[in-house]
Amino acid sequence: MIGIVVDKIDGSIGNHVMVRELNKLADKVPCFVFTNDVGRLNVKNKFTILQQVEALSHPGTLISTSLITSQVVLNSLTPKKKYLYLQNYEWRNLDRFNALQLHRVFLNDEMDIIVKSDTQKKVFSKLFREPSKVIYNWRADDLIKVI
Amino acid sequence: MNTFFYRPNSDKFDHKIIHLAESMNRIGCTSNWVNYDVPLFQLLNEVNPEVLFCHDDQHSSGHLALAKRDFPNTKLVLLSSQLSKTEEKNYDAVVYLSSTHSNEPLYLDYLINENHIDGTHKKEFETDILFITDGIDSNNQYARSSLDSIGNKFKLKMYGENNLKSIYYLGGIHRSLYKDVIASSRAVILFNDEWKNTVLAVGKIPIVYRQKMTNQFEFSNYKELEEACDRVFSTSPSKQYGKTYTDFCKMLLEGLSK
Repeated sequence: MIGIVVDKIDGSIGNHVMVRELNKLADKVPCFVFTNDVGRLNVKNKFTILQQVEALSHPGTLISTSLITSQVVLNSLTPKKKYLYLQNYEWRNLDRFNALQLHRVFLNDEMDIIVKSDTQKKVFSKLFREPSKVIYNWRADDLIKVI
Repeated sequence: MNTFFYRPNSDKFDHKIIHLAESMNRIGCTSNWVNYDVPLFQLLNEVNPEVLFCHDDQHSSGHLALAKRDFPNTKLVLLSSQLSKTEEKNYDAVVYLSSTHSNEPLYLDYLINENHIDGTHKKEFETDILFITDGIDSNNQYARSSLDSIGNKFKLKMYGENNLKSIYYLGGIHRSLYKDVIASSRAVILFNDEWKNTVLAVGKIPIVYRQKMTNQFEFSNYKELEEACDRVFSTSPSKQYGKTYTDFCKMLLEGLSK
């Protein structure tokens, strides 16, 4: 069972790839997306969409996709495994923030890090710690290995 | 001893004043900060400071003369950034911040801040090259692109007040952690001398911007910066001690007590 916590799910290009791959994965394992903002999807979803609060009781593998959604994942007591799937270097766009806010998420032993590319892996390793996996663009064949 | 500093109302705040205030605390004084626009007599009446640090053109000479008469126990000290010498009669002492007055006994140079030299190496701050963003303009594109290039090649981390919008800028840190951040690095890139002597006192390498290079750990352009960063790995620096802000505070207070 796999749950992904996102800020928003809609038909945008970034989400389209995620939806496509989750649809492939949903044929094999139960898949859930937890979000508080649902837009129009370009394809029919085979996975279940629930409110973010439901992630707090998700028992399988739980994956966050941002600093904010990581707060939900870290506060959830029931998941078997927790990951942050780093989508971009989002801290570059933050205005005022404290280094400890990043440390609490990126250096948290409760949660492993997944990145999208070897470049991201190199950068993240220098700044924080070595990511546990590289999964390019939500590839279902790789995602299934984290469950 | 109760000392008060005015928080200047400009972004161009000389950071030596912060170091001076921090060092006052080390010698048993209490440093307090008040907003720039707090009226002089309101401050003197309410808190009766023993030492009050003021800025150029902040108070009129008439007000200062009245303050000296009505509050004889309060020592008034001017923190002067002006290039020309200041009339001293209204103040008990003048501390010169501009290097044009480097011959003055109360010229405040960039010294060692003892509050930042006894840090601990921490894994979360560990890096080869450190950059502290305090005092640098967030919109300085040249600094950002140069530092980004350094970050692509070396292990670079940036912390501090100003967000350079770089992936290597990892946020602000509490001032009490600056010593740990410095202790967790090998070298520190500096665009001015603010942290230079403190970094040397910890046994780390300051890589300092100069318009014209005079040693292997200075740079005037990106290429020299990259070469200086390369040299860091073949250098084993030792701690270098010198005058501290605490020494300066003691000298200042000694003069005021006479």
